[in-house]
Amino acid sequence: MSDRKLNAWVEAGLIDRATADRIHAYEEGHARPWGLWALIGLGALTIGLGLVSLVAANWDAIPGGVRLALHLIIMAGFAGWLAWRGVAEEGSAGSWFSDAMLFILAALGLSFLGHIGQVYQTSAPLWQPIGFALLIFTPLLLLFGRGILAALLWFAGLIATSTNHGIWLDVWGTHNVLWLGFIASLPALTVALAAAARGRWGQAGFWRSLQQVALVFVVGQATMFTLVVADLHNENETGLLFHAVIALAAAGVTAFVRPDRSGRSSAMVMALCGVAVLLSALMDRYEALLHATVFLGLWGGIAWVALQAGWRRVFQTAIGISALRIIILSFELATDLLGSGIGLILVGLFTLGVAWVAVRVSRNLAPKAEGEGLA
Amino acid sequence: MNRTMVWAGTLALPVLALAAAWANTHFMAQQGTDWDVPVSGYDPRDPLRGHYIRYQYDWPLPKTAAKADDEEMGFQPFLSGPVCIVGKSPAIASARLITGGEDETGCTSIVRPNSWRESDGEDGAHTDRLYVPQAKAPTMEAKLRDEKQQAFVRIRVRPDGVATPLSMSFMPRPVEAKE
Repeated sequence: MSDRKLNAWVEAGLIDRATADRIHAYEEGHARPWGLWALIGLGALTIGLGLVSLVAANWDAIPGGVRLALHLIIMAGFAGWLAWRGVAEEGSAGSWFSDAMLFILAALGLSFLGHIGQVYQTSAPLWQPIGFALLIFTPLLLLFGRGILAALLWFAGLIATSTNHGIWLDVWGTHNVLWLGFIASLPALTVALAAAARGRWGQAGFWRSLQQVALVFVVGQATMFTLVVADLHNENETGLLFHAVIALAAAGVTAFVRPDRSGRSSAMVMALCGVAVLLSALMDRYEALLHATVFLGLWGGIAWVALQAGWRRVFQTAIGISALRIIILSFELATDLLGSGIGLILVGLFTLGVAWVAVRVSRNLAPKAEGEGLA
Repeated sequence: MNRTMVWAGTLALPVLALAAAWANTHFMAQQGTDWDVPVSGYDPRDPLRGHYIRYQYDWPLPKTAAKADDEEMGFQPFLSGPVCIVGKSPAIASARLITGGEDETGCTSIVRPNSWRESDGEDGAHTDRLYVPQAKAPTMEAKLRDEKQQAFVRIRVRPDGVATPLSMSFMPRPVEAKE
């Protein structure tokens, strides 16, 4: 806070001299030497980068066993330091830091597996090392994760393992659609798990984040299915149906284990996703209008749930996405109109109209910003 | 159970599991028989992929009429299936392909292709890749292209048929081959 500003305010009669002096005294007592901290940080970063490039330049000169041993010792030392520091209290200022430390430990662990492969010239399908890392870090993350960082890390591990496993099965030619449908349902099951764990096992922040992340992923999945279902093979239909059934079951479990407003809303969103996937899988896949209707039903439903739950930003997003889909549909259906000038003008006017309505709706009907996000 | 104990235990688990994974890989890497196999770069324009040098094994297979024709035409025959090695480590006396449930007796070692790796371009029995240090890569690439040099890869074949490339070496090629 500069004295020039304070003096200007005193002169303008906004504050009196005594207040200005008190502000001055307070600011002096609470001054943070940002410049100095920045320089210290810059110095530490430079030393770190220097060390990294020294090691990188001599990487091949270090025998593999020594490198692996160093890697493991660093990891063990880091884990030991964390164990000695103790558990970060929930909701404390240290919880972000704690999550960041778990993130670094997991990164060290995953890269160790890659390091082994490099030294011993082995190779394995990608899902195996990621799955192994997921397995050995799951107790740590699920028991001591504190917030969104740990939740994202665990969920990313789950998705990376399951999708890579699915791709690997595909390469093998083992096309077990039920298994693929189950793999696709892991995010939905995660929502139910997180909803059950919230408020029961502690770590409210972690489970809440995990539930949100997984729910967003389930919605994204259902949206993708309704968009690309026309390009899928017939044989995948069974897998999609199986996935839809699991998603609906997970929605039921979520509503059962968390019968409050937030739990019911999450369950509603997931049930909408399940129904949307079910309908897309069953419908004639080349009917553009039908699939657009399913899409709009899904996002219109999400907007409705958001309205009930008071999720302002979710509501606005849902309206925006629905409007975009309507506009795309108008281009899909009006292929013969697009050839003429009048047709182009009509489609353009329609687009503007939809955009105008969407903006009006998301401004005027949106719930007040309380209980923000998929709480 | 004490919360601090659980915290320490969950921290120790990944470290111990990774140490065990290393020990297991190390143990597995000691198993098997070593062989020197002549190799050539299978994509002469681009033998290097990232940190890996890619090559194909030139197994000393019995000459068949079809193979002789292929060689005359300058084709590199596409081979698949397990390879039976006969010889005294690390020198290969002869090799033959085992296709369609043929007799596997008499083989000193059998190298089996790794089907899941085929999508990556290497199957581990007819084509493979070797991690090479960046500083050495250009010279190795040049030698692999050089007609006067024959490249060999030392592989270690485990009893389960997995071949792991260990190192690449070069020897001057006998002059008689090309006219």
